[in-house]
Amino acid sequence: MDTIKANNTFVLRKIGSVFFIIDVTRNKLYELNQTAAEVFSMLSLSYSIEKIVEEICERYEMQRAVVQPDIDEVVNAFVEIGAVTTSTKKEPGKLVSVVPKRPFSYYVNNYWSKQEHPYKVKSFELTPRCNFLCYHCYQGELKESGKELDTETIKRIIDKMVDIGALQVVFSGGDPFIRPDFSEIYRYAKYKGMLIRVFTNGSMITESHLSLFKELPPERLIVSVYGFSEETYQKTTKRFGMYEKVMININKIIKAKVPLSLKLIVSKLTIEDFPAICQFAKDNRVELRYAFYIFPSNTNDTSICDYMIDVKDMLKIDISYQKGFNQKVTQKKNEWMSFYKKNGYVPQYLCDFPHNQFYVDYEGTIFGCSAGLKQLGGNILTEKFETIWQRFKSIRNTPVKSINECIECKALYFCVNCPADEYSFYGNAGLINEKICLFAKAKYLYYSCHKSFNDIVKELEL
Amino acid sequence: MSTYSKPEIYEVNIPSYDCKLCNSEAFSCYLTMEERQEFMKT
Repeated sequence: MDTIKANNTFVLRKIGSVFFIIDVTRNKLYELNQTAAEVFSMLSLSYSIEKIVEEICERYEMQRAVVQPDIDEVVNAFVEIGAVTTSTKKEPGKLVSVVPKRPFSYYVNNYWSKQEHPYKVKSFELTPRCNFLCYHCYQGELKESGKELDTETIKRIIDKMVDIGALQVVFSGGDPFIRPDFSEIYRYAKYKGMLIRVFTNGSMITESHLSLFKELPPERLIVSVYGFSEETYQKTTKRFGMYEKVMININKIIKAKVPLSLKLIVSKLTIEDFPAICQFAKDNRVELRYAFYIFPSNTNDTSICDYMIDVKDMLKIDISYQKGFNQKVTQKKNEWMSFYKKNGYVPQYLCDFPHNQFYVDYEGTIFGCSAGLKQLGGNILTEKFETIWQRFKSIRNTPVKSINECIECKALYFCVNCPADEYSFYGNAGLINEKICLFAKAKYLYYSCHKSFNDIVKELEL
Repeated sequence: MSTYSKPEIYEVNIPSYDCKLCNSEAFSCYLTMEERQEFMKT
């Protein structure tokens, strides 16, 4: 008799109202409808095909003649994707059942967005500790403290995320690799069926971590870079010898084919190295994300914001590296305008907060986003998630007067204003940062009005 | 009792970017989720 068994590297999960199996060794995701989920669940319990058919016939009061071929087909599909193994070797060509593809956005649009389901943990700070002492770190003095949750409590939080139906998580810090139990935590979350990104400074990744990532790949490793020379690195991180260490590790990650992104804050300290970093990313076909904004620390140190580059330099970089992209943005502007006009007002939060995402800090406190809004949070270890989630929802549709005034601004399409950022800067979610506003206007003049860089500098007095 | 449906399985394409619009992990833009997703296709 043919022995068939579900592979334990495939985890069955329900995210919102949708069933998935997650291939933890390949980061693949498959949607199952109710019946397919029931079949997979029974295969996990070592049911035979005979028994599964019998069970399904009984549950749905169906005829065997209808159910048997359906079960055979879905089991073949499971075999094809590696979710189940069978003792009988199938002949090539006979088990090829087509597994149709759907984009991730299908589930976001049709289910999670409408249901306001929190499928994404944008950041789970495994620790506030870090071996770098970056001036711009929002953790402030906490990065040197040893305060963090123990392994078992971290696992308990991961269990809660799974219960809530979160699918994606970003492990961050501090630096998550500073924890000696990082691999244990990572492996635990992987086998719970989480899609994991790891946000790190890249200096503490060991051979052992790389072996782990080869076995159980992350959805992405995001390495924050601080320059392209030892000198620049030291200016930001206040540590010696880190540039070489990080570059060696980045090259190892690339060689190991672990999905990688680089992230850079283009500040007054790193701007000189920006072209070289872009070139490195391009040469190695690595995604580079960069941002210009620096926010006050958790301890309200606003002086770190002085390292933000001037709007003139932001525009220069935008023109050099984002031009094609921004031209696409302008093509869309008329469609967006009709949306605003139709809506009549702009709600306070149009980002994922708190529709679909949340953050968890190093103490287990849930909050809305990295930029602030901790005042509405609550600790997942002591309070029900649903209660905290409801509090977030309560502010979602609050219109903001000052943002409403922006509705007529022609540069609105280029503005990345974020109420949480403003709360962080000014303690008022309705105020808009001057540099963000000016940068949007500069982009509008360049991309929509086709003015020259020099004319814009003059007009806006940059 | 629920109605029987033929078992179905779909492979999901997971995007490597969160949002092309602002090149950032945060959706700091004034679009609905539907519009953002639509934009991401362009």
